[in-house]
Amino acid sequence: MTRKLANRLSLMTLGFLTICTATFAHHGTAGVYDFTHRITTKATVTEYIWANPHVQIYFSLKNDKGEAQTWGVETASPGNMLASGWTKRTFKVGDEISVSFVPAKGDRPFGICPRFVLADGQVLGSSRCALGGNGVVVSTLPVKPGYATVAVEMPKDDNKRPPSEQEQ
Amino acid sequence: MRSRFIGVSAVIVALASSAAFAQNARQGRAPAPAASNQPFDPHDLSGFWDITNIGRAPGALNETSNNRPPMTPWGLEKFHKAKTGYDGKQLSYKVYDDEKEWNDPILWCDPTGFPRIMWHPTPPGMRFAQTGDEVIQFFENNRVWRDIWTDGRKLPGDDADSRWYGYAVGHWEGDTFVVNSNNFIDSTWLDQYGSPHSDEMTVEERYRRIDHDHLEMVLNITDPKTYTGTWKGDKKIFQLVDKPARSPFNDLREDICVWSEAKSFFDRMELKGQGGLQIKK
Repeated sequence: MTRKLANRLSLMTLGFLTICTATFAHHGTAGVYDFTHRITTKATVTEYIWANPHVQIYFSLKNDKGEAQTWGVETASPGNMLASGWTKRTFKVGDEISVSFVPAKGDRPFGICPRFVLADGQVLGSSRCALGGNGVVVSTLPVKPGYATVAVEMPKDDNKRPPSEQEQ
Repeated sequence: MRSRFIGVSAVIVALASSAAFAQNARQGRAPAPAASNQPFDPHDLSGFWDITNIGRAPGALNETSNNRPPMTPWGLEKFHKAKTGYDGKQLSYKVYDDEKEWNDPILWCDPTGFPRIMWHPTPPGMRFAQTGDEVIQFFENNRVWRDIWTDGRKLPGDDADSRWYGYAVGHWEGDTFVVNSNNFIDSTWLDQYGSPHSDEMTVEERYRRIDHDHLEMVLNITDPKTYTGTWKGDKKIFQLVDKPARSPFNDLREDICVWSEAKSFFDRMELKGQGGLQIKK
């Protein structure tokens, strides 16, 4: 085994530890999100905020009535997202994506635990959301009413994450 | 020699990795770290240290330890005012689903304080550097540092200004570096569950480098105004890393809480409902 490979293994391990910790370190927002539904659809990126306390991605999508809506999703801090293979350049305004996420309760247009498919096919995020009590597998949740006909298929979760900056 | 080191490193990495996932899947503690055969100076604490899950018992919360002693009436009254959404199980008084009620001071960028910065918001991100008269402990969270003076000076008395991160002095007992701290500003939380403390709190940390790649720490909190006994910490194991996990520049990230960013986030996400984030003192 080379030293380079050993270093890669070290960083991957730390990355996993970071991800697990980041997930559990998130505030208990049980009251904010509806962990019994998901929205999975095509969207266009309108804004990407790479900042504390949470990296946010805003995108426009259409509901079943054809109405355009702007939604936002929060992830973790930039540091934790770096370890998961994200960078400040991961998204650009205008990027065409597919996204699956847990929406907020009521009509607030934001969500959590997103999973993305980028235009180049890269997949970011996992179907597993550690929040919502004992955690949920987002892909198994029913689609939120009003977003059924615009729902799309997402690739199967292979539990892999892109390498972090340090691993490249 | 070199290839044996690489092999041993890989074993340590594999053990640490399996420990992280085994914690939730199995009963019993994660295995002890495989010893690194590389020579080391036990009085050398320098380097970047990432906390691990090695030795962490199932159900152990991300904090000093689950064994928080009972509180005094003064402590309880303070504790009951803390409102957060984190569920610390037996350590929590109430869990508030409605984020509009939360009053965790780090939400509006008050300093995290010590020892909370060791566990939360993210486990550091911690680096030791040593000079002739002190050990400096650097943290990723808010880019703060602690001076741990080793020049023989005594801790200040009660008249000294209290500090967010207190005052610290250190000395060696054999191969164990013992740190004593006092005079902490009492408005910080000891953890994300709202555990309180007074300005009479003192903290003792004992660090011991157990092999080239691992540092063991035990942290105890004594605060008779708040707790009826010493809050004894679990043994924590840190791993020496070439590069801290979250920076591409081989350094600690600049993870500074910026009020304008926090407010912008909460306003955009409407997490605080009408009127945005309200600072509650």
